[in-house]
Amino acid sequence: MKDTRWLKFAAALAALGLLAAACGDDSGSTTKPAATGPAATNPAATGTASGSASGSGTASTTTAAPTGLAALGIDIKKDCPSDYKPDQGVSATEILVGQSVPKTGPSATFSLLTTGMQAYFDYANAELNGVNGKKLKLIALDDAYEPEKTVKNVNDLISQGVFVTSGILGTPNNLAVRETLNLKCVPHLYPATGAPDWGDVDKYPWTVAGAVIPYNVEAKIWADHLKKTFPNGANVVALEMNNSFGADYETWFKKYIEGSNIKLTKVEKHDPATADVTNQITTLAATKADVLIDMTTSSACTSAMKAVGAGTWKPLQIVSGTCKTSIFFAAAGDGAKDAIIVAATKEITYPEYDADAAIKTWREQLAKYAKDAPVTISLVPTGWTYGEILRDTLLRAEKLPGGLTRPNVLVAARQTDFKSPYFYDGVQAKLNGKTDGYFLEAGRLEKWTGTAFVKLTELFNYEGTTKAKP
Amino acid sequence: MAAPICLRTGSHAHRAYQVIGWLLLLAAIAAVPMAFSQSKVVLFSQAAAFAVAVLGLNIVTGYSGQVSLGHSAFMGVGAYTTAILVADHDWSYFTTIPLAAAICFAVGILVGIPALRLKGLYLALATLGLAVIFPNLVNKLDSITGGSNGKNIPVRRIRLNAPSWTGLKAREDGYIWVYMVVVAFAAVLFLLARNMIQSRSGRALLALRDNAIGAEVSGVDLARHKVLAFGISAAYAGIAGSLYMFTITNATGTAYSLNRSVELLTGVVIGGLASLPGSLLGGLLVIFLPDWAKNWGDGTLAGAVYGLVLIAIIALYPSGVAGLLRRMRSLIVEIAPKSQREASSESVRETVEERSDR
Repeated sequence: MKDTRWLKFAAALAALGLLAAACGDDSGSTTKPAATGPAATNPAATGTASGSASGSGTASTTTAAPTGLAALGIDIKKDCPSDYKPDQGVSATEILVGQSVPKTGPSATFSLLTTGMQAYFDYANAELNGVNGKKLKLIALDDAYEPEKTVKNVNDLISQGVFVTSGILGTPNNLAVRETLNLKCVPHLYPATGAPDWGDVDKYPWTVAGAVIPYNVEAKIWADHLKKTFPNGANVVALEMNNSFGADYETWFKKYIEGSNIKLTKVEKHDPATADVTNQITTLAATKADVLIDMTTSSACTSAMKAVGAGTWKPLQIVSGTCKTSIFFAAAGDGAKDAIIVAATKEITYPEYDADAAIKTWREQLAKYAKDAPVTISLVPTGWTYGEILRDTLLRAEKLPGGLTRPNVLVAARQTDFKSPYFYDGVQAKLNGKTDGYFLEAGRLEKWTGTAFVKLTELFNYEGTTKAKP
Repeated sequence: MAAPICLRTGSHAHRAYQVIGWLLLLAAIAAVPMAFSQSKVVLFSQAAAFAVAVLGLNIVTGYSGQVSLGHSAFMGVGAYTTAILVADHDWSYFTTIPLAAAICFAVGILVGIPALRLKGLYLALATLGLAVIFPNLVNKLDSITGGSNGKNIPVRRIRLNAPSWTGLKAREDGYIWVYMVVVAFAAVLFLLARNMIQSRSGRALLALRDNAIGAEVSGVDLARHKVLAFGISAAYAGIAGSLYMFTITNATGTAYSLNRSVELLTGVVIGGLASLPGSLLGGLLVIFLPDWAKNWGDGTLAGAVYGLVLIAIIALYPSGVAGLLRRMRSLIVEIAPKSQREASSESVRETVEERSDR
């Protein structure tokens, strides 16, 4: 007798599949994303929803705050879960803030952002009375820069009842959790990435861009600088990280050099998981182009500059602003010399700021609260600043009618105008509702001397002009 | 060592013991959504999906003695099939499952054919190739897969809402519905696998694993069994990937790299080789051990704790957690075969049952 068990088994599997297909059709139901029109014309309705849910306040408090929300196209009742708690994560003594960063793996250095933010929280809790008596508590989970783990972490954070998320790091990582956070109406504050996506207020109102120069602003600065420096034209080649972070740079740079005699002639991509890009640089060196742009980040920047240093090709090197950390440059040795980079923030440990009172105070605070952290690495002061911006937003949200609720935090975050000695004069950490969804739309070019970054150009300022799509 | 209670297979007491066992398992499954928070229930759903993948790998590794490091790729194909069709082509989650299974079955067969000629480490190396190629393939086909950015299912647009007959709140309890669906699929797949393993084909597989020449001499078709086992194993991994997408909404190439294969293999070994309960335990351990290790400090320490626990399990209980549980059970309950007269008529069947239990 022939053995037909296998066939039967396969048939059973197939039958199961068909059954699944038949009974499953009703479950893929679709709902439309946040409607914009009706909500905006009906602030009273949203007012009741927000006001009653937060369980607070008089008649007057229920109308004023949500006007801002309605202006963002959000209707709490319609767009948020029915068991939505606007003040989830805020107790009489504590405010829970969630974050996901790589603490392990090749991008582990970026967890210094958390170190800086935690240091600021410690400082604010000890010396500034937290947020009017409520202590800031940071829950930062490790995702090793893997989006799947970021999703798990964010589920975890929501389950642990965080009030907001702030400073989740990485473009693919934030893309992976943006939908969920918007669906659950949890403020997705200040992702630590400069992707133009984060300013898409219409589609993702709960996602508020972070204090990183948007990559399209950076690409515009590169393009404008090259047009000025090479009036007779130049050939540009690029090393690109093979993900949307790298692709954003390329897309926008191409757009900004359109019609000029600056040409992007070759792009070599590398896998985000590999830090050694020597092969790609060797290929690019064969073009003998005038300019090399490193549209990549972290240790790949170092590897690229090192590889240039080892060869005979000496292009003008432009490096992604995400690599503006002395360790990445110092480790590249001679190859990094004269490489240029866009910067919006000061290297606060440099002697040129010794006389600056604000920075002097800041250094003392860092020395006290970030004792063991390498403050020369800009990620630490950046993390600190992320903490400052968040606290500023929370303080403003608390003053809104209804107090410290998620919707109020969103409204406040969308009206951020934050001043810090960290930013160069003219650089603004400023958002404005639906019209301006980006921080730091300005930067100057700096040159690495081999030991330090020095000023190369004046500030390029594009405040308020950034768009999410080319 | 004599256990206080001795049960003879086929006796009423043994039946009762089995029924109580199953009822307890069912009760435990039903209790999960009530006893745990949302994020933990999601982890249980993921564990159920992983248990299916571990079971799939167990069919190849435990039952037919072939080592595969390529199952991450099969799982990835399943996951991407669901992610792409749901996100970009408005398919229902459910309809993607048979397609994922079919694609993975076909790929599994294709891989299974060369696998016939390769054994042990050589097969491991060949399948390793699959695990390495898959993330790169995802990056190459970025117009379909989203490249290294990953594929995100827009949950705001496409939600797995609980149908009204469940009595659950459509949106808020969607995660419980997902849990029910994934567990139901896993249960059916486990039953199918159990029947298969206890069938002639299952016996043929075991015979091939233990003594290939002997089995062939006895008339077992080596090529056909090995290839089909690989195909079905791949289909299981594919369905697991598809089910996993019910719970995670995001697929990236790096998530289905060699690490995931090692994770699955870990599940097979620490759960218990060639064991169905072992596969279930393997799925649970692969998801919950790292989650538990996080309590020891997030980051590198968690990884170290996870590693140490794995080493401890394997050093102490080479037959995995399933083996450990079996030993603990044997302290209380001993299951003895039927008396000689009854047993002789069904001896063949019995041996197989014991085997599959191991």
